[in-house]
Amino acid sequence: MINIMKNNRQFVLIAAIIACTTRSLAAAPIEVSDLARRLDAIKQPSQLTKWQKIPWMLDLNEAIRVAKDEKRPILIWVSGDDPLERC
Amino acid sequence: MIRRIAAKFVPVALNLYKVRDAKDAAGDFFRSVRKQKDQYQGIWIASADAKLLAAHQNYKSEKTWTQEVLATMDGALKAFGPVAERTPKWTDPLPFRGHGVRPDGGITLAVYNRYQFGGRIEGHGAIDSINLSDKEWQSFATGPLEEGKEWTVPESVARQFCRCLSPASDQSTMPRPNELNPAKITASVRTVENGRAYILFKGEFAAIHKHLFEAGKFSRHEAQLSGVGVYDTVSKQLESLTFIVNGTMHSFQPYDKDAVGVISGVEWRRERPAG
Repeated sequence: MINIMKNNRQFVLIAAIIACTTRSLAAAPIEVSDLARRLDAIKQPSQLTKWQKIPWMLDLNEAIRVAKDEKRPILIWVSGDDPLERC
Repeated sequence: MIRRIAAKFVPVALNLYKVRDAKDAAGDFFRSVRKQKDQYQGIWIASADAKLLAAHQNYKSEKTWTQEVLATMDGALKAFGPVAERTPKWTDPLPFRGHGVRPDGGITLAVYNRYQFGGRIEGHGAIDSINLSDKEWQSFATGPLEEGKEWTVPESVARQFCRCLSPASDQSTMPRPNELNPAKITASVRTVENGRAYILFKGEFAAIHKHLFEAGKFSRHEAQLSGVGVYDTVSKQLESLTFIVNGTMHSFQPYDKDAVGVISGVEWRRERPAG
């Protein structure tokens, strides 16, 4: 008897989870998944954005201070916009 | 190359138009370095006392570009002398790009621009950001949100999508906000269910962008926007924004005969993605 009750409780719990998930998926209009799929196709592949993993600084005064402290050269990357914003 | 830059140099990324006119020590430093190697943009490598070590702008070919930059770095290190290796901790220089709310209450939309030929996405394109103030981004979800509610996003916000109208990685062919006509984004609440409101966006943009240096030359742009916003009706806050901007552009004369496809993806999530 206890087992049956326990199984019933599990069944109700699983059914409730499925029902909630189904409702949640059903509520999202098709545009949500469609736009997400199109966005993924547009995003640049990760090998093209590896340069973002360089520990860039954005403040030249601070870079000069670090270069003096650590006795190393400064690599200055300049473009006609904020290089990390539009590139 | 990434490892070598991090280990040997202090890398700094700067906006030409800001640093060349900066009225501080950084501006003086940059102008001094640039005087030693006059190039429009690119890479300058210098010592902390503004002595130029090497520079690079124009590559011979895309195939050899990486090697050319590596050779520039090697030349700079040779001129500088021994440098101890380091392992700097990477911190995200744009921690709010595409997710989260900035301390000032604004958000930063992540933009991905690509060329499109015959429906095929091609080329490197450009990545970019659209920074919106607290008041500006709240216009994407003006409450209370009920099914069928419609409104127009302020034109000043729509104009900032000018960054989606060109896939070039600089601003040469990018229309400026005041060059857009029309710049229109409308919103409507599609459904409100299970604590979420789904907001659909439609937009229309056109622009004539004047060449910065050659009078009488201009590029032409037109695009349509479609998007979705997900709003949590319990916490009463936007959870995400996704936009696709799809259109064409005609470059400056004499390259204006054929239209080039341009497609952009724009996204923001309240939660930072895992990893």
